Amino acid sequence: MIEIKNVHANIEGKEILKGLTLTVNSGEVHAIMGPNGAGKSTLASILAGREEYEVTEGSITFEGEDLLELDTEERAHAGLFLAFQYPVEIPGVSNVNFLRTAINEIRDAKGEAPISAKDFMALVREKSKIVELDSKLASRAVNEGFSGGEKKRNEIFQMAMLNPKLAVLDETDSGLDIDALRIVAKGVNSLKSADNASIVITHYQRLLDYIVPDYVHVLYDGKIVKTGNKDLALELEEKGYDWIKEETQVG
Amino acid sequence: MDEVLTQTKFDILRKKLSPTAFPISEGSMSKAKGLLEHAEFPTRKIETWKYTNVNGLNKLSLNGESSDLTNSKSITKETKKVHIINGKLSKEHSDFSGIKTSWNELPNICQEDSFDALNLLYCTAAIELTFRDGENQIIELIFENTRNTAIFPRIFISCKESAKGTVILNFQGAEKNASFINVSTFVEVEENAHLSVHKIQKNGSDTFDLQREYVNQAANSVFAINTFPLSGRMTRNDLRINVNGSNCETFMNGAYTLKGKSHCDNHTTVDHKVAHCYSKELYKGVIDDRATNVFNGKVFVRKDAQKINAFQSNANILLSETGSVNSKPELEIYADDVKCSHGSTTGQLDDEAIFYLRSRGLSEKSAKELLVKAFLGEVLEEVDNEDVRSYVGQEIEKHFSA
Repeated sequence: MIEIKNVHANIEGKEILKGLTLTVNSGEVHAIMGPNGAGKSTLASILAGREEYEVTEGSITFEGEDLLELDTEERAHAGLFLAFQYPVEIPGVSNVNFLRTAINEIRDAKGEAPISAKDFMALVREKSKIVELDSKLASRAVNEGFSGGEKKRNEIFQMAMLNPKLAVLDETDSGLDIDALRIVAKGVNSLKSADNASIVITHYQRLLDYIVPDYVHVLYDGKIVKTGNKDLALELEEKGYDWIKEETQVG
Repeated sequence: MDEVLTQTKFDILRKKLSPTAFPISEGSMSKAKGLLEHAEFPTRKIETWKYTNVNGLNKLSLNGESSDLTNSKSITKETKKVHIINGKLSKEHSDFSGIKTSWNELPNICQEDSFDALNLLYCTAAIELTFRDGENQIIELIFENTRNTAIFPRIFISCKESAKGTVILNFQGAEKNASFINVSTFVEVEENAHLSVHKIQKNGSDTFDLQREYVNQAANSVFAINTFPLSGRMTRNDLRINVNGSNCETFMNGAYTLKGKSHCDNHTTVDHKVAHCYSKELYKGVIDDRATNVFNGKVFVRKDAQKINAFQSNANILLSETGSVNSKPELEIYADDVKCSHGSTTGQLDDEAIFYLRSRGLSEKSAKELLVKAFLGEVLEEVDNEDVRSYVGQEIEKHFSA
């Protein structure tokens, strides 16, 4: 699915990622954990193609294509989705209107005909149920006046609508109460299939009680320093990140 | 020789114009001529023309050369239509019933404005629309401009007591048209009357369009005007509304899309002379390329005009590094029990919003288009006429696909 090899990336001349390597296959859920400043959000940003970040070394291959050569929208067309840590409020642009445009541009890029209004509305009804998103929210302006939980549910709703191959969830759990967390996790789990994969970036283990990862990676100082299964997340929750830091420095 | 040296820019302009065939009273004629002889041609030194340069008027040849109007069309369906072709009333396709087009003498009005004086002396069409009942008759005036010429209509709109009416002033110019449009519109909204005016300025790329509306509102009346400068070399609108009676409502909305070297200037004045009135103004626009925009909105609240609610807002989005905006909202309040606000913003599209939309698969172009449509959509929501709303919506879309 995606192969990230020895990626170095900086922003405004400051190196954040210092040789990150990660391979994710179809059907897998990978969790990336790490202390503040380790480079978690930078990873999400370079995957989505934020222009402020410069990749100076390494490569990223997504479904056989050189991801770094693609524009942000081309990455979406290829099946990449980023759930934002801070979803943007866009006054005046209705959620459904924008999603129909997005779906049609993705279909157009694949040489497919636009979705019919009827099929689209059926899809909205079906997918908004997954995240228990009120159909009124679906037709309101994108994230405008949404609560923190509604914004995150809207991210997962968009993900469900766009049906990506690879979903990157950037700290989707931040600012969520336990009910919202459960709903968001349920949404992510219900979209899981043998053909897609997700990278779940999180600071806390809490989310991983609900979205059970196949692999847990610890990102520290711009590199993945430790990989394990879900038990590693529990260990981190218990002991914090200091022992990783010490282990890395000793190593 | 002396004569040449003392020629003003107005004199040069007047040589290219043909005196009006409409009957004007001696009094108005001499007042207008006097105004023009002593008037200073607009320069930066005159406050109301500080950011708008009309020197280009004298570069227009106005020789009647023709250019094709490919997409001439009326905006509304099933309404009374009057066609004014290259400044002159056209009997073809027009329905003049109940509309005054022949005159023993034009009304004795001449404003203290040199361009109004020019309009009077060189008027090419004079028309009076009167609404007498509550049926909300819709009249569309379609100005088809296919020749490079002087288009000087003088329009009188009267909405009688308790009547309701809608006027659409639809200016459509051929793409490369280079005309001088100079319009004076006089509006009387009587007691309990309700009048809506929608003005579309879709002018040719070299056209200069100077328009003035003089509006008087009597007690308990509602007046709404929506202005859409969509294209043209230079567009200047002077909207002056006197709210003379109490319990009036006044709505002023504008949306503009400027690109190339277009210049657009909206000057509006609403003068609250009496108490218990409401006015709301919203002008929004997007400015691309090297286009320039000016907004000057004045709200007066006179000494005894208590309990006035007046709101004014102008917002601009610059789509290029080279576009510019001069926006000046002004409030002058002499009463002490009023609620007034005004504001002006100029900025760029939100990069974070563009990135968000692109991350969902929208191209940069459609992301920007969606954001601009949402931005201008706030103005379109204020437009109660569906035909006008959908036409302007389509024009905004075309503006971006061109």
